[in-house]
Amino acid sequence: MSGLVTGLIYMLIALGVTLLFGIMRVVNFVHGELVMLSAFVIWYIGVDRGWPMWVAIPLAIAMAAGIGVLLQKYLFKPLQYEMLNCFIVGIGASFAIRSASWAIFGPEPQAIPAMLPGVVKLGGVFMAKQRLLAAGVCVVLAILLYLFLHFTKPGKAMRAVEQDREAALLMGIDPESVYVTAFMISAALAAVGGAMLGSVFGVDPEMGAEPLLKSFIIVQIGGMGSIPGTVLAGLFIGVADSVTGTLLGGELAFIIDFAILMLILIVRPKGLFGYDV
Amino acid sequence: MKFALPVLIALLLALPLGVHNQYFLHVMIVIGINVVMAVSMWLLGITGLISFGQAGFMFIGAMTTALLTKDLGWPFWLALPLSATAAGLVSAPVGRLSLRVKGVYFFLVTLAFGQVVAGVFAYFENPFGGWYGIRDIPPPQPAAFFRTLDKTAFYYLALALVLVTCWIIYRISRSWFGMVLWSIREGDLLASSVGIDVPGSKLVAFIVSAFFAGAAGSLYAAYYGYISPLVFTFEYSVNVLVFIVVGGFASMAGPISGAVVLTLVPELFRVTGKYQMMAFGLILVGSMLLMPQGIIGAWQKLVPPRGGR
Repeated sequence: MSGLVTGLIYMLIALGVTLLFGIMRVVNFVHGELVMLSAFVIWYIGVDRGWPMWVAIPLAIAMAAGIGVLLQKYLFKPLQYEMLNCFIVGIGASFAIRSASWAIFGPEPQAIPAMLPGVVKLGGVFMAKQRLLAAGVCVVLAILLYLFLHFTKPGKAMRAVEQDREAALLMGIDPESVYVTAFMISAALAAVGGAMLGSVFGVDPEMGAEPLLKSFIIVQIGGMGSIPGTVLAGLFIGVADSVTGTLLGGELAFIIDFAILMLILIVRPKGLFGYDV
Repeated sequence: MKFALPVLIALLLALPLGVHNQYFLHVMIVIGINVVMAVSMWLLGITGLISFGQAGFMFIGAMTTALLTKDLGWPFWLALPLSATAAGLVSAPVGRLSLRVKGVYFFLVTLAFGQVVAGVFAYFENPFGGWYGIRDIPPPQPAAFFRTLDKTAFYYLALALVLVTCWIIYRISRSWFGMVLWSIREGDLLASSVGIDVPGSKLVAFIVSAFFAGAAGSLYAAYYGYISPLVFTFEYSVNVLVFIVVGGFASMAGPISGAVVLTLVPELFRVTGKYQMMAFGLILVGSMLLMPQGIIGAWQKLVPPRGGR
């Protein structure tokens, strides 16, 4: 069960990755650092300063969205969203941010207290309410993202740019502003993921690395740019992780994920719901 | 200019005669290992693909050497080619699968592969030593020459490996097969339309590049006498990529000069570990953004723009 919750959080983080990839063919390596930074902002405002959580979390989301816009403006736009260059620059920025946070926050792991303390009994299994809350938030946000992309004007504009940038341009859609929105949404998803991850596992400068790797695997299994694929693959990886975790120990989980990824690549190189690049 | 290369090699050969500073020789050996890694990654880089699993292949080579020389007592001179071969053998199925995908997908698969290699070696404490790694790996024979306090013999070993690697990879990149690799970078659809076996050529480049990464790992194990999963990380693969990006992709001089300069600079300033990664990250971002016309410009002309869109 707890593997499923972790899988859902990873799915939420992976949704941000797949959104950017679908729309502008950018693999954002800084995504994991956004998760880490927003968890630290929540810890700093909500725990260190003692402000209420409902102030801390929106502030973290706003900060992440702001960083997302800065990344878009100063890193990816000058490179004209060229895939390989953006990937390499993202790695560089991610390393710089991560080691800067080592210097600023130190290696001590910090804890974000649960917003919903206590446990609840679910069919004979005890679950922390916080984990249920995290799972609920992830599911709701995934549904909201789907609704946004399919039933609102900016969402439809995004899908139009995803399908054909030039045609969208001719229909009066400004791709640049769509890119900015996409980066903001993606960063906000990362921030919520950071809040959930931080309240379940604690906060430290390396916390962004594993979710990022996991979300790459999830996105690749589900198919780059596909939201249903990402959701399915996230759940699948979550269950696979918790099964291997109980049977073989947690350290092997990553190896099993990789084996699954390799299998998918043999059978269907573009992922379950993906398309060719 | 014609005599530049022989003069350089002669200078490198004569270096230990004039320099007895062991720390300086140590830095030269580290540079040697980095140059072999950079050049091996560059060979696959010709086709426009970067393998982020190079550190994984280096780890496989290092682990093979450690197990063969320490546990089985085989001589290093036998372990070196066997380690390189082991890395090459592992790379064949990995490359066969991961080369089915292109561009960023390939990066992510090789990245995951590198993590898995480290994960497997860290998980099984017997015989791989787990997170503690393996220590007391015996030096090459005759042990009287390869001592910790006098690094001259190791220096010549590293130099020999660098020269052999560079010569072979240079010959490959200038051969007919090398031209095939360059043509794949220009456009793999076009290349396959004139009858070039694109997946096969990529696979051969992938295996050769893993082979030399394994050799570099073998040298690493014998030189340091200690290996652990914390050494051969994804971060190290990225370091090697930074050598190439900063040095330039267009010719083999790029990765070599990048590896030399970027190994020397941190040594000169003696930056501590955590800030070293920050410096590497900033150098990577800075060279991508600020020097698009300079060293990188040469590369961008070679990479097909915008992934075929």
